[in-house]
Amino acid sequence: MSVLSYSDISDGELITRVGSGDRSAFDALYRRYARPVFGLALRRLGDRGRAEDAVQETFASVWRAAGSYKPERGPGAPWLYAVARNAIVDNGRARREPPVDAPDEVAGDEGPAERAESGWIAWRVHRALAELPENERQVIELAYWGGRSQSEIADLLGIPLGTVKTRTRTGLSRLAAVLEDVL
Amino acid sequence: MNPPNLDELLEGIEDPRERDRLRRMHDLLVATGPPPELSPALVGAPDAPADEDERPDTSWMPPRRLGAALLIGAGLLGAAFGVGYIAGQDGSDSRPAAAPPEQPASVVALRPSDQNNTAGASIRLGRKRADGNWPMVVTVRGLDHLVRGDYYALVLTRKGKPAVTCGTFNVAQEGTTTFRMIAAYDLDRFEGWAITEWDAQTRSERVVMSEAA
Repeated sequence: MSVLSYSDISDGELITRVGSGDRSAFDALYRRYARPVFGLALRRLGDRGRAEDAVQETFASVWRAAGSYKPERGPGAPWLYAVARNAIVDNGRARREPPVDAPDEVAGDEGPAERAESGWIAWRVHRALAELPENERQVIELAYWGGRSQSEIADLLGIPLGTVKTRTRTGLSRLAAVLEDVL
Repeated sequence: MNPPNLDELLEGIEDPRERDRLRRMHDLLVATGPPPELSPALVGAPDAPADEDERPDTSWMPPRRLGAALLIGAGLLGAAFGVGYIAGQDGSDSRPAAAPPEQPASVVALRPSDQNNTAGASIRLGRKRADGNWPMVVTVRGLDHLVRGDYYALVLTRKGKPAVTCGTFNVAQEGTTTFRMIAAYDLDRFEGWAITEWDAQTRSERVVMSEAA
């Protein structure tokens, strides 16, 4: 079965399939969540190398533990988030060498509750972004994080300024619909 | 990074509830920041193990440590080209020298973005290997040793901006630092090289050296 055929399957269904040993489902889940997991790990650990390790440990854990996932207890994204969070915490604990300096975690002054909350929200935002149609995701990323004005994006992509604005607004609207509960 | 002009984006939207909704989404995007680019070690989807009954483990993933082990192995075999060529040119590098089995295919010089800075770097790029990887030896001088989770990254640029990361590194307290890296990208798709500095505290990245600077 092609990986592409998994694109419409929910996270929970993918995890269930992974639990039954479906490697294609695992592959699809990795593609879907590698970036959000990496983002979460990087926020928490503040180090790309350790974040890479945490991503790998997360997906190794997902493969091992997917059989214990119960769809009736909730959707797949929070389950996967919990697995990732545990892998990241373990990665932090497992580091034996003392930090050269006091680690300045990227979360700044946030307490554990706030960090958990912001981590979960960032996870969901990044996941929702990944699900946007390519042409909407592209203009949003260029506008918000590429430092480009709407006119510059129009020039860059060779499309009318009005199209850039429409795609950006539509993309924002889609994101708002998915993330309505945290807005 | 400046967020887009929201008033410009909302131009023509009359419904105040919709405007408020998009404004809140805008604020959330700004507060969240971008998802990080996956490093090369994580970009590829993991290969399935050969044994159908075998559960995958981290060994088939593209692990950083495996990459490091391969690099060490490559170094022991002398398969790429050595650091000796560079070390031989710069007495401040105390690493063991070895005659390069192969001359670099090209050498790229990087200059500091800050004109008052005397830092510099060179990338001695080997020939593309059959496995699709480009070996390189990078020599950096004049950069500060980073602490607190900060790091440098060697990146490929497109339109004058960092596009993908080849690897991260730190440097010695002073003098010159030489290390090997491998790029797995199609280099023709990029316009140049640069070195960036990641500030873990502010979660910001700045270009400290580039070809064009």
